Amino acid sequence: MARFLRPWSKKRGKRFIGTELRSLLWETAFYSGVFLVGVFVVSLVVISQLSSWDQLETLKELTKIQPEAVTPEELDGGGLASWIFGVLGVAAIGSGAGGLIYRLVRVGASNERRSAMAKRASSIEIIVPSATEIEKMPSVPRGNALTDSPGERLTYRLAAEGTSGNELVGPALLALLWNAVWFVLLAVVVLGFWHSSPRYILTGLLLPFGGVGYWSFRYFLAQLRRSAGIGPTIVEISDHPLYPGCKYRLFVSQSGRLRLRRLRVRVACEEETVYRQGTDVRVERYEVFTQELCAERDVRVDPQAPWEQQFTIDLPSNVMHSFVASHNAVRWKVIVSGEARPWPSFCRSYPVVVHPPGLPPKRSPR
Amino acid sequence: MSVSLCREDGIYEGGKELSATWRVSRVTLDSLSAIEISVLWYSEGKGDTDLHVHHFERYEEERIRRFGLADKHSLSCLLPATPLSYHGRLIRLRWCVRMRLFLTDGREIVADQPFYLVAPQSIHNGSAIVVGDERRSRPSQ
Repeated sequence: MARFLRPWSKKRGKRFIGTELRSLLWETAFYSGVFLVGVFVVSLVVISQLSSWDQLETLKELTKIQPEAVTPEELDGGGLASWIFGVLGVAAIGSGAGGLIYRLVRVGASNERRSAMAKRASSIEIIVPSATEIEKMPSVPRGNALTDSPGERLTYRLAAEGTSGNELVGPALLALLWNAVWFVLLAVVVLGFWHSSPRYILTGLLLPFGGVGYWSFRYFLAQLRRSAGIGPTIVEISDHPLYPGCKYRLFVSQSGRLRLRRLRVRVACEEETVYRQGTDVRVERYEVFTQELCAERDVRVDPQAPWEQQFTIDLPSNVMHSFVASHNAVRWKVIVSGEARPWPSFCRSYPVVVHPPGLPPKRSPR
Repeated sequence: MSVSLCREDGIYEGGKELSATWRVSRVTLDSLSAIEISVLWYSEGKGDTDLHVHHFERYEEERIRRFGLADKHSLSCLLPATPLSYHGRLIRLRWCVRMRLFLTDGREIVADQPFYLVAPQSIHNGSAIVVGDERRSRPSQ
């Protein structure tokens, strides 16, 4: 019996019916559609309203509407229909944009991480931390935010560096803005035809503009599909901050639907310098220490069975602690990288803080 | 002018006290306008320089005249736990006691007495090292 594709997914306990990726794509398309329809409706209403104002000669010229000659009810300023359509249009724009932003923000970020971010945002210190706290270990990042999130397998869940949704912002803005402008132009053209004063040049331009809009929206969906295809990476650690000469357990989980040529997990210490060359500001990085924990080939990741491994980090005693100054830094991180197909390769970094040895370990209630 | 540290090897543990003596010679009192003594770390290498002063003293002309230049003067401060001395590929972190003389003719004379800041309790354990120095001393392959 033929099975139809379901445009939605449903969560039952730990199980999903349908794929999450498909539901994400459908939701994105739906919210984008609502937003663009809202833009179209509002454009119709605004143009109808403004065209009855004598002072807006340019708009009248654009639409070729003669309010003195044409006074249908729907063009009569302040009409009930205009208000209803206006409110509906604004509501469509608001709900479309809101739904789209809400859905896109969820791409690539785990619930725990979002929860930790929300908690951190709600507990921002109004008062500057006491000087004694900073002076204990000057130039060493405090890393308090790194231990905000408790882990499921080990003590802490590490947060990834940067946000994976950043690469979607550009294509999303381009697609939405371009298509919004296109719908405004469409509204102008439709009104022109409606009032028997068509704008043929503008009508002709709609086709190539629509092509660009179609391409931009398709590109945005492709980017979204890429970002969502590589599932979240979860990294948990047994203790934090780290001390040279000590051993720590590390848990790594990679989910999604992936076929990886190679999956690597490593701990690295990187020097980072910022310098000026002429008027340019340049950043140079050099990996001074790396410890490979895993380099597995031909890894298959299934949504029902994420790739999970536990490792031991054995930090040598002769390594530099984390250090941050204005132009120089020594940063430690756990790096998970994969050469994937059909998705592009990915590399996710999870910063950790290494303290100098010999200090009493920082005790955490966890 | 000279700065002498209390430890001959110039290795200090983070969080411990540093004592030093300083002396100005072959400069007349009349030609001095001010003296600055500071304990600081600075970065060297490819990046722009970072500098952080941990301890700072400044002696104006009047005070210099009062204590004179004949004797040695002492300086002591509690060192911080970090940043430790480091010799990396792009970055080097150096600690020093810096003495700066301001002469009345506008010139400045600077002298540095470097020292190493190592991990707390590492001297006691016999494990004091400057990270990166062992790489420098390794023979080239």
